[in-house]
This record gives sequence, C-alpha cells and structure tokens, in this order.
Amino acid sequence: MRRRPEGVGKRGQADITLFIVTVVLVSFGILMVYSASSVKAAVQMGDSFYYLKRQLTWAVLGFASMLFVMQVDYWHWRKLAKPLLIATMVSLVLVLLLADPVSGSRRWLGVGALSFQPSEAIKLAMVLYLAHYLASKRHRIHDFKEGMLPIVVLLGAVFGLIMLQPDLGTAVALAGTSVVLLFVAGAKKRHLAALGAVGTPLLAYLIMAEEYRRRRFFAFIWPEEDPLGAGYQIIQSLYALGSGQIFGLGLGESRQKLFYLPEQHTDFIFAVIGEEFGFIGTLTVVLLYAIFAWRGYRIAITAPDLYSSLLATGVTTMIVLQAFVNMGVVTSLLPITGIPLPFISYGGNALLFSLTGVGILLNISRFSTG
Amino acid sequence: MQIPGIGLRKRIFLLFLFTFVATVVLIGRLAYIQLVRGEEYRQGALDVRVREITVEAKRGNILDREGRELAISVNADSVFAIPAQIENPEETARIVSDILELSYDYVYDRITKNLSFSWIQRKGDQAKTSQLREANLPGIYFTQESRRVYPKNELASHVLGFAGIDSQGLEGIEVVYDEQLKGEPGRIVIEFDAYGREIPQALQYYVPPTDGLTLVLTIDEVIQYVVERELDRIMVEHQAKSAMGIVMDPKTGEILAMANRPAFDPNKPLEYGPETWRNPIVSNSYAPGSIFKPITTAAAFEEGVVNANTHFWDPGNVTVLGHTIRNWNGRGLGDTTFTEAFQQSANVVFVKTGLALGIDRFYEYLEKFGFMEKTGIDLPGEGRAIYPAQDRATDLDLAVMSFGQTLAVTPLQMITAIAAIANDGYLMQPYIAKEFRDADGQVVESFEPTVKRQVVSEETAREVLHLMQLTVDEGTGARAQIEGYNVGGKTGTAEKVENGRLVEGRYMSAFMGVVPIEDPQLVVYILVDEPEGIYYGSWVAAPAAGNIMRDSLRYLGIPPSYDPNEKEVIKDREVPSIINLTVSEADRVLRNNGLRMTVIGDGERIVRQVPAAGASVASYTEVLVYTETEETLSTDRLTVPDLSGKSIREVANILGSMGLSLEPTGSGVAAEQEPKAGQKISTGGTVRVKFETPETGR
Repeated sequence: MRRRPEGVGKRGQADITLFIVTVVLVSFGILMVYSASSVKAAVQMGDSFYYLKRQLTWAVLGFASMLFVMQVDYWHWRKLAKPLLIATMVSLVLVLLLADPVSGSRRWLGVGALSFQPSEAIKLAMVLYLAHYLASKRHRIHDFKEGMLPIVVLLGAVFGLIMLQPDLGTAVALAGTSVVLLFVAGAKKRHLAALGAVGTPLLAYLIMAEEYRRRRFFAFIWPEEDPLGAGYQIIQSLYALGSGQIFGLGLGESRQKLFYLPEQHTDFIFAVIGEEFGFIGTLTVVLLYAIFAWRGYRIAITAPDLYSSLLATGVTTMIVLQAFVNMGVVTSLLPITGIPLPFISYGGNALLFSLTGVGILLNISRFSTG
Repeated sequence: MQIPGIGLRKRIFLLFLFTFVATVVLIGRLAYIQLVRGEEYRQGALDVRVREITVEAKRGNILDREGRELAISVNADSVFAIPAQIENPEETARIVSDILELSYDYVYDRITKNLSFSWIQRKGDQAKTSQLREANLPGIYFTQESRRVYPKNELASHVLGFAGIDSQGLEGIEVVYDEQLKGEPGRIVIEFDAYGREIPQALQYYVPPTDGLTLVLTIDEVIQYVVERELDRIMVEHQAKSAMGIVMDPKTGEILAMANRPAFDPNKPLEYGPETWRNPIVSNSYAPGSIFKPITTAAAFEEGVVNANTHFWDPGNVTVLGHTIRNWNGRGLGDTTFTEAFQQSANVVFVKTGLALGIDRFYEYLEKFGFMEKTGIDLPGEGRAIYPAQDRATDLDLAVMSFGQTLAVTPLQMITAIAAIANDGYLMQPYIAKEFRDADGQVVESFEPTVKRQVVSEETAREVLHLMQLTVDEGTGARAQIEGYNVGGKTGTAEKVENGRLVEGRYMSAFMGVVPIEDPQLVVYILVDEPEGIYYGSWVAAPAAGNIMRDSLRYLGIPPSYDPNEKEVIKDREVPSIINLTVSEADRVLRNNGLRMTVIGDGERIVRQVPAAGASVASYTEVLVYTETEETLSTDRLTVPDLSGKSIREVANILGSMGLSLEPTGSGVAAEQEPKAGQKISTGGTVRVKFETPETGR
C-alpha cells in the first residue's frame, strides 16, 4: 500500500450532500426502471419484475462498492491504475473475440445477471489512469512528444476498441471526459485544438459511415422527415415529455412507455420521468445533477493534491457529461448517441461503476482542504 | 506535496460554470417542451394511441299514417377481431369460419391483418354469433348493430328507398330524412399500446348511441296496397313496359300512395340495380296528353276566354301555322259545345281555346299551376318540366301544348296541379313525411299542409270538376265509374316523346280521377307506359283508377254521394255484335244498348270489335270499333301473354281486357295455349286454351 502523501491531513467527514443526491437519484432510478419496464418485462420476459430485480441487485452491489471504496484512501488507486487499465483493455479485446453478437453489438462478458460490461469499466479505469498519469507528468504536460502523444495514442487505442463493438455513446463519453481532464491538467490550447481538428472529422466520418447513425443524426435535425424511422424515437420522446405538462400523469401512468417510446427503461427513461412527473419531475432531476456537479467540482477544487483533484474532476465529469448528453438527446437538443442516464437508467455495470466512482469522490471529500 | 495550482482551480470552476449554463439551457428546453408545447404533444400522442369504435344507433322505424310498419330495424350482431389479441390464428380462423360459415382463408386474412381493428362479419345471423360467443375466443369481439328490414318487401319501395350496410340512407325517404332516422352513433373509446393491445385501466369509456326518430309517412298502407295490386294487374293484362300510380289528398297535399312497376325489394336492392331504384313519378317528365286539358280549361274559364256553353265548330282538324292538327280519331264533332268537346277530348276545340288564351296567359297559368318549379316534395331526385321557352314559343307550340303535347311534366307535378282544381283552386305542396316521433312515441316534429297559392277561383275549379264528372258519367272516363259516388276524371293517351321527337306507335296511357266530386277527398293518377294492344287511357288506365277509388273510399269510410237505388244505376250491359255493320249502324246499335263507340280507322265497314260480343260491361263503356283498313290490320298486333297455371276466370279477364277472345277446352288451370306465349296476334283474335285439372299428390 502506498503511503499517505505528505501534507494530506487526517480523514474527515465525507460530503453528505453528494452522498444524499446520489442515494436519491439511484432510488428514484430504481422506481422509474420498474415503472418504465414492468409492462415490457411482463410481455417480453413473462415477469414484470424482471428488470427491477436486476437493477435492485446491481444497486445493492453498487452501494456496497461505494461504501467500501469510501473507506479506501484515494492514493491507493495510483498503484492500481495501470494494472486496472490493462486488465480492462484485455477484457475489451476478449469481448470482441468471445461474446455473441447481441443486436449487432458485442458488449458483454459472462452470462445472466452477473455479466460484465468492459465498456462501462473502461470509463472509470481511464479516469483513474489519466489522473495518475497527468499528476505524474505534470511538468511535461506541455511537451507534445513526452506528455501528450502517449495519451493520444492510448485514447485512440481505447476509442478504437470501443468503436469496434460498436458503442459510439461510450466512446464519445470517454473521449469527452479525457479531453476535459487534459484541459484541466493544463494541456496547451494548441495541442487541444489540434486534437479537436483531428477528432471532429473522425467523429463526422464515424457518423456518416454508418447508415443508422447517419439517419439518427439527420432525424435529430429534421425529425418530421422520417416519423416512422429514426425520427420516431425523437417524436415519441417529445410526445412523452409534452404529455406530462406541469405535474405529470402520476407514477406508473405513462402511456408512451407502452412500446411507443423505444428504450423506455434505458436511454429514454428521462422521457418517462417527464410524462409521469411532468416539468416538476424533470426540473428536479436536472437540478439534482447540477447539485451533483457543484459538489463534485467543489471536491475537486478543495482536493488536497493534484492527483486527487484530477481524479475528482474526472469522476464528476464522467457522470455529469453523460447525464447532460442523455437529457440533451431526450429533449432533442442533441442527436441520438446511445448514452444512458447515470444512476437512473437500467444497466447494472453502469450503476456499479458510477457508484464506485462516487465512492472515490466521497473518499477524496474526506481530505478536503476547504 | 502537490498542492493544486490556482490555474487548475480556475479551470475546474470553468467546468462548473459550463455545467451551470447547460442546466439553464436544459431547463429552458424542458419548459418549452412540457409547458409551452405540452398540450400539442399530448394531443399528438393521444391521436396515436386512442382508437374509437363506433357503436351504431338503431335506425328509426318508418310507419304508415296509421302506424303500420314499413321499415324496421332488427338487432344484428357484428363480429370483429383485434388481431393483436388473437392467440392462435389458425385455430381461431378454423372455429370462426366453421360457425359463421365463412371461408377459412377469408377469416384467417381478417384476423391476421396488421390493423388494430378488423371486421369479420357485419350484421350476421344472431343464432350463429351467439354460438361463437360461447366459444369465447380471445381477440374476437361482438358489437350489436341493427339491420334494416322492410317487412312488406316491394310495397312502397320507391317511396321508402333503402339503407346501406352502415345503416345510411341511400335512396328514397331513407336518404331524405337520413339525419333524423340514423340517430347519433355512440362510441367506445379505447386506448391501445403500440402493439394494438388494450391498455388496462386506461382511458376507456362508452358513449351510448341515441336511436333515430320514428318517421310516420302520409302513405296509407292499405291504399298503397290497392294501387300496387292494380299496377300488377295492368302489367300482366296489358304487358306494359312500366306503370305508375299516385293517390293524393287534394286538401292537404299528402301523398296517400305512390308506386311504380317494375318495383324492387328494398331488402335486397342490389339484385335489381339503380335503374329500378329510380322513382319516375318524381324524376321523369312525360307528355301528359289529354290529362292536361283540365289545366287549359281552368285557365280559359278563369280568364273568361270560353265557358262551358261556348259553341265551337269541330271539323275534325285545324291548321295552325301550316300544320294540320287532328282529333285523336280523326273525326269531328261538328257543331259542339265546350262541354261536349271536353267529354270527347276533342283536340281541335282545345287548340282554338289555347290560341284564344294566348301565349302569355297560357305561360302565366303554367307557372301558377306549378309546372315551372319543383313541387318541393320530400323525395330525392325531383325532375323539372320541359317546355318551349316563352319568348321563343310559336302559336303552333301553344296549340299543341293546349292538349298536352310538346310539353313534358313529371307525373307528380301533374297530379299536384289537378289536385289544386279539386281543392277549390288552392295549390298545395305535396309531401310524404307526416311526423317524427321519439322512442316514447311522442311527436317531436310534425309537418303541416302548405298552401302555395290560389291558382284559380273556387267557381272556376268547380266548373272544371263538373266537366270532369261528365267525362266519367257519359264520356271517355266511363270505365272509372263507381256505384254510389260521383267521380270526376280525364283520360289521356299521349304519343311518347323520346329525345324531343314523337315516337310513332308508342303511347303513354293515363287516367286522372277525382272523387267524390262534391267534396274531393282523393285524386288518383294512373300512368301506363307502352301498353300492348289497345293503348287508350280510357281502356288501360281508367278501370284501375276506378278500382283504386272504389276500394279506397270504402276503406276510408267516405259516405256515398247518392243512394244507388235512387239514381240511374250503372247497369251491366251485354255488348252486341256489330261486326259487318257500317259505322253509323253500329253507333245506333250501341247507343240503344247504353254503350258508346270509338271508331278506329277510316273505313266504313266494321271488321272487329272490343270487347267481343257477349261481354258484360258497365253503361257508357266505349266499345272499340275497327273499320277495315290495312293500317289497323297490320299495326294492331298483340303479344300473347303466358297463361299457364291460371284459372278460366283469370284467363278470360286477361284476354278480354286485351281485346282477345277465348276458346276454352277442358277444365281446371291453363295447360296449353295456341298461339303460344310471346307470339303475335291481331286485336280481336282468338286464343285457344286447354285447361286441365292439376294432379294432386296421392
């Protein structure tokens, strides 16, 4: 075990606000997963509790992980950063080689309730490693060859592995979080601009090369052009949100979840929230994420050292970025990317690793200097 | 120690600011979607999810004026499928097709359609649907609808029209009052999920239908039946192309009966076709012929141009603008009065009367009697009269119109105009709907008689009626006489006009009757299109009109005009033989026997007579007398009717009214005939019929 870094004080109280916000979001998420999925589960799985049971299981695992990680002082992760990254990358390769194709994508390892999704793990592993790397190389960050290039190569490799699945949403979230970390760590604006100059055409190519992504993208701009195809999801999402009006139809009363709205318990669960709880509900959820961002970035600012500051920034960004992109998609501000809503959407691995990340954040908050 | 630098903190704070901006944008966007456009989206979502199933209202019954049912609605089950709920399509299709006796493929196709709702059978047999109900198949549903039934089949079919499978009125009174009859359909609103399954506990409500109103007609079923019976008889006895009959109450304009032959059964209209559904009484216009003469007379009397006693010289023809117009039999009355000319229907006198009236006054009365407008009857497809434009009409047009040619009017316009004469000169609007009643039998809307205008004075109307009475008492209308009642009438025989041209040898025969003359209760109009053989209205239409008036008067309980024992009774007279006599000799013989004579052809010696010698007829009945000319011998050819299965009495009646003689052999019902049915035979010819006793089962 690594020693406690010099000058880092004794463990204090964890950030109770962040803790409460997280618990509220996850609990609300479990409720909404049940509400959104019960009919679909009954029809497709013969058990209306199918998704609820799994989500509950993962939430229990996630909270256990969070409570455990809260006790693990953050500096211990520096030693684990590289092995975890390598292990996750190997599992990414394995998933490509071994797993069966599920609906055109390969994402899972293992079977049943305990399957493992490397693309969810890699987001946390990447944040852990980048924080460690950028903290170690803080004096060479301005040097392109020594500082930037290895990061860009690593990022490109991981990005490529994820795109082979293919999972554009995760890849974009990962790239976004990484770029934010580089920026915060003090990378030269010239280097970031160059990265953007390479990344934007690449992203454009990835969108245009794949038929369904191209249609989703244009459907975002002109949903009425293709009301039964790609535009269908967006229109149904707006119908759901609009049906909620101010106070919503009430818990369980969503109509759009009855197969009009696709991905009703995953990527579009925010629309079901809007239909059942109205503007009051969506406003509350948005504000909860804003509070999460405020507490998360406050922990980053008051962190005792550069590594913990970067780590806190990475975890917070990873969750907040996904949350706002997801809500942006549901409200048709952004094109459909396939990013779920953290803490709320159905998805065991995402929940487990998000809560583990929150555990790390909470641990860092115990050493706050503010 | 690696204390985070001030730059790092600034950059992290920047991230928070960025998040703050994103939060504000997102909240703004949510407010726009959920608050500003919320209602619009909610409606859009509802439109996608909610489906309405219409529940038909029970169509209102149609009754005759005495409350007898002419059209009713009976309950009928309809079967439909919600394909998404069908669990086993093969099994379901097999059971449903077995019970409902439909083809398997058809049912399978219906229940697997990519629809949320699919009819399997509309308005089917209730015994079979209740059997299917017991099978309790998932996804198969029933809804109660009603089916239109016309219990009297062909009776009044042209008045009633019919309703379609969705209980919508398509023809006749059914279409005119569709709005009131159909009621307000109810509906079941069901919210479906994207797979077409009902959403449990979702928006789902039932709005019950409001049944249609009951329509009571002015039609009297009994009088309607009498008219149709007479039309049927005409069709058989005169082998006519078509026949029409109307009975109107002149005081109100109520139509008591209206019928056409050929008719159709409104229970299965598709077996007949649109040509049969048409109601020519209302839609078609025909040259009225002599039936129009009372109108000319009324106009001339009202204007003081002539009166009943005005003397005329009738040489049998008159020349107008270089055209010679003849009396119908080519014979003149010599020195005569208007009264006699009216009774004998002398065209020459009417030409002179019309010319004296002048074009402007003649058209004025055309308009007043309602020939320039639709009558406004509540039946669909009303036609208009056709006549030369007033500013272009010549004296020749006027002369011919005066006795009812050159102009064409609808039969309904014609009877309405005559009814005005029977109603002291007041023109009424004819109508068919008497009132609407609700489910409790309460009258909710009632139609009252409408006086359009007074056309002529009461005195003029009375005088014309008197002439019409004389026509029946001792003129061409004798065959319409009824014992105990004073009947007024006018016969008409018009050459048919097709495409603006007279069609030689094809006639419309008609009779217009008014009864009782001292206080007219009924106007009856019978029109026969292209009767075979003798085509005179007095011969073809008058007896039917007489029967209708007689039966209707008795049915309505209208007291007789006189005691038959006190007035000279119309006796049955035996027709003498006048074959080989000269025309003048025959006239004398017939007059001595209380009969009248109509001469056909311009020869001297009589070769044939109708009815044949020995027939029993009423006083003043005309005997048709044929003189020997090639024309009469070659043109008057009849088609022999099919007599098989008819009794001797029936055969004798049929042949007698066609002017044919019967030579019977054997007894029982007609088995063989010579000439055969469909062959041609001359008027006055003889048909040999062999009668046999039908074999009864042992």
